[in-house]
Amino acid sequence: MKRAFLLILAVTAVYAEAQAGDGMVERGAQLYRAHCAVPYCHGPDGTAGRAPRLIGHNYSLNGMFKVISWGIPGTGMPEFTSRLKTQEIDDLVAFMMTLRGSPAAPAPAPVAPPRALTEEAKAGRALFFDAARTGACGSCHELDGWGVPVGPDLAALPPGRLADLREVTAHRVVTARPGGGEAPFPGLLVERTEARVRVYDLSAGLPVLRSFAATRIALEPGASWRHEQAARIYTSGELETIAVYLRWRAGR
Amino acid sequence: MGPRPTDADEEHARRVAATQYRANGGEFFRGVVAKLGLLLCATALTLSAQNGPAGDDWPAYGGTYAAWRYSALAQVDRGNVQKLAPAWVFQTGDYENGLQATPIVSGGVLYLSTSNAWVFALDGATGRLLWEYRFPLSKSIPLYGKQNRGVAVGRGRVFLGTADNHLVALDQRTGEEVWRVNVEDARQCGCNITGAPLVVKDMVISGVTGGDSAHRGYLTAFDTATGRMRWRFHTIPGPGEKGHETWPGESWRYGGGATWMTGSFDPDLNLLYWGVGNAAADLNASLRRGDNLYTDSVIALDPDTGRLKWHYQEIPQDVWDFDATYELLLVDLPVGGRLRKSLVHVTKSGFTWVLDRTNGEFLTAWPFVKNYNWITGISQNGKLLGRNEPEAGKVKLLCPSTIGGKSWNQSAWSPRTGWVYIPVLEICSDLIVRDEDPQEGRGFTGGNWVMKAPPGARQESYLAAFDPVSGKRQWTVPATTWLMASVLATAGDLIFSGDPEGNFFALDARSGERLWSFPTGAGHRGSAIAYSAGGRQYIATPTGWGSLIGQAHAALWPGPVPRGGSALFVFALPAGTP
Repeated sequence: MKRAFLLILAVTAVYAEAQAGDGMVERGAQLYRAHCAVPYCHGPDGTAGRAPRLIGHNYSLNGMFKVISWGIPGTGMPEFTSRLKTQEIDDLVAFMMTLRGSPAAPAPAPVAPPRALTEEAKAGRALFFDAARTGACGSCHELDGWGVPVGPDLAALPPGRLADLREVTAHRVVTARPGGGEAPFPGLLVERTEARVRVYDLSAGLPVLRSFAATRIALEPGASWRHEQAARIYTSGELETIAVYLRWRAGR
Repeated sequence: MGPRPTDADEEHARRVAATQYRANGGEFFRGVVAKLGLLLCATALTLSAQNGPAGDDWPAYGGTYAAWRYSALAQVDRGNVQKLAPAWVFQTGDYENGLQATPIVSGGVLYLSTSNAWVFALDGATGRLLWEYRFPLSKSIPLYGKQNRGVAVGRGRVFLGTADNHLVALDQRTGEEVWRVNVEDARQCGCNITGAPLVVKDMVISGVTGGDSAHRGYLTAFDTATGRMRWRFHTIPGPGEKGHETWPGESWRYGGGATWMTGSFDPDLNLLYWGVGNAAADLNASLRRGDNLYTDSVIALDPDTGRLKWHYQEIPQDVWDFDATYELLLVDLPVGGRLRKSLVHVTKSGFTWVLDRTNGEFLTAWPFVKNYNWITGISQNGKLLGRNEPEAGKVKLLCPSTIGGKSWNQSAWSPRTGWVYIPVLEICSDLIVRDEDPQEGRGFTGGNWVMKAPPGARQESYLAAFDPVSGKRQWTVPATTWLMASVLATAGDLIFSGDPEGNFFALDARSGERLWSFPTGAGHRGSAIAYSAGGRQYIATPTGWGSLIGQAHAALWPGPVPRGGSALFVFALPAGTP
């Protein structure tokens, strides 16, 4: 009852024009749970899933009614006119309006649209993040919100360093000598305290962040590892295409 | 339907099995086959700590590699289960999405993981905390959410998959992190690890989610000591690989085939079995006309190389979201007059497939749900009959629902009764198909679904015992709402599970009679286990409602929403109980 009372209060405050009748919001909340909160859609609280967040939405009454009734063609939002009675849609709209955000909330800052990728840069980007190749560039480099940040931040490199991706020098790679009879491996130091050493092991297809007691591992400068080994899953033509993408990105 | 052995065939097979088994000199499990009135010797001829019942420990996700979820411990039995009482309770403090794990017990120490990737090592006898570990989860969690179904333990390590797609190895003794691998950037792949890994030899094997995203599934093996990748098997063949021709155009890149639950392993055959999930887009095959190998298949891999030894595709070109990722019970069964090394696969589609696990040969398949209309049946050679597909521009009520004839919560098999115990859901869904272009790592379902009651029937859920060969239902215990927790079978002829209302209960394995129940105060969505420490048998169950599907409770059932929480309840008989 308390929850229903609060919801009704919210309706009165935010949605006075709806004149939600007795039980509308409660019934609408039930309909919401049955039809909208399903896995991957709006989630139990209007916050989850693959569909947009509904808590704090900015739909007008008419807009909400329209979307629920007719759906949004070309998206996952289905129409409900064939599935719900008119009264039920009204109830659902009444509930949805309780989730509306404050009209005074600031609009999100506009994001400058990215400069369009050229066809070749686009192809290079696809190769960089090619999920079909285990150990693609993205498994060791993060760029624009994708990829795993193991190797150097490519966004910070001058375009001049982005020429032949085989010949990239890897100054930071060291030789790690773990104890216990394990062979040395090429490593990237992440953290060294008095007690622990954390180092990326670059010897396999995916980098492994390994943690050792400081007394159990020695690090030596220099390594036999070459970037060329990691780049071997690409042809030289593909590497050139990737370089085009990286230079395009650096210059945009 | 598949070939049905006659009673005489079955009797013959069982006599043969019994003779062989006695000759083998193994431990002798006795049980009664009511139908034949015969003394049945356990069908498993190759019992060992690895691939039969669990003993003092609970070493792997499904109990052992055979995934029976059966414990040979019999201190707690039908005669004394009424005296079962809490021995200790452990509160994890991680209340997000409940407690869905199967605890692992190794050497009397219990290992437990939570949704936020916290791991606890607890003294099995007292519940005393030995160590804990918290993985620093990133904020980028794919749509599968924060779920964790358990750790794997082996080779002195505890292995954990995380909701942001890392695999982590901890020192089993101290809980200190030894290595971690970002298996694939979760922001790109839209995939993560929710299932428990499996330790096989000196490797740890992990699957991924991603079957409802534009993603191409795989299974990866890592070296337990160093974390280095040993092999990766893509569940969708790439260009030049056999089976690639079942995917037109670029559809193979985004075709799903997730591996989000845990597989099984037969050490004698040296075969690793894993269930592969649905094809994507889930409900819409317009971009992937073809069989879509190896989605909705059981795959058998050589664990040393990751190479495919055989596969069996249960549902070619799935358009119902019927992942075939659930438990693979390795059981030797009398089929067609012969004892077969079988694999019993209880699936989302409402059917149980029984295969020969040496070569993938189809043996039989039977429905465990009453309500199914996606096919009319399965032929004697395993072909789907009368496919009833969702259609664009129509709303079609199809059964079982996209939640499945059961959810991922696991079945159990008892060698004493010979029956498989399944938590069944009789729910359907309205399927709405739409065209969708794949965007890497984004949701790619090709439609929507709304859960509904079956046509002309009420939605219901029950725990039922089935003969694994004939599919004959032996008994049925209805639930108040639905059953979303796994099943545990024990040699005390007890079946344990929990319900969303918070009751943890014990049934008579032979009759289904409810013998004991305890109110734990929070809904059950995890997997109970049995183990022994200091000569005392314990039954442990996670409590605390949660999970992606669990969120849909209110959409389906009236009454209160199940209570969240995150506690492990551990029960035992009071000291001195005869």
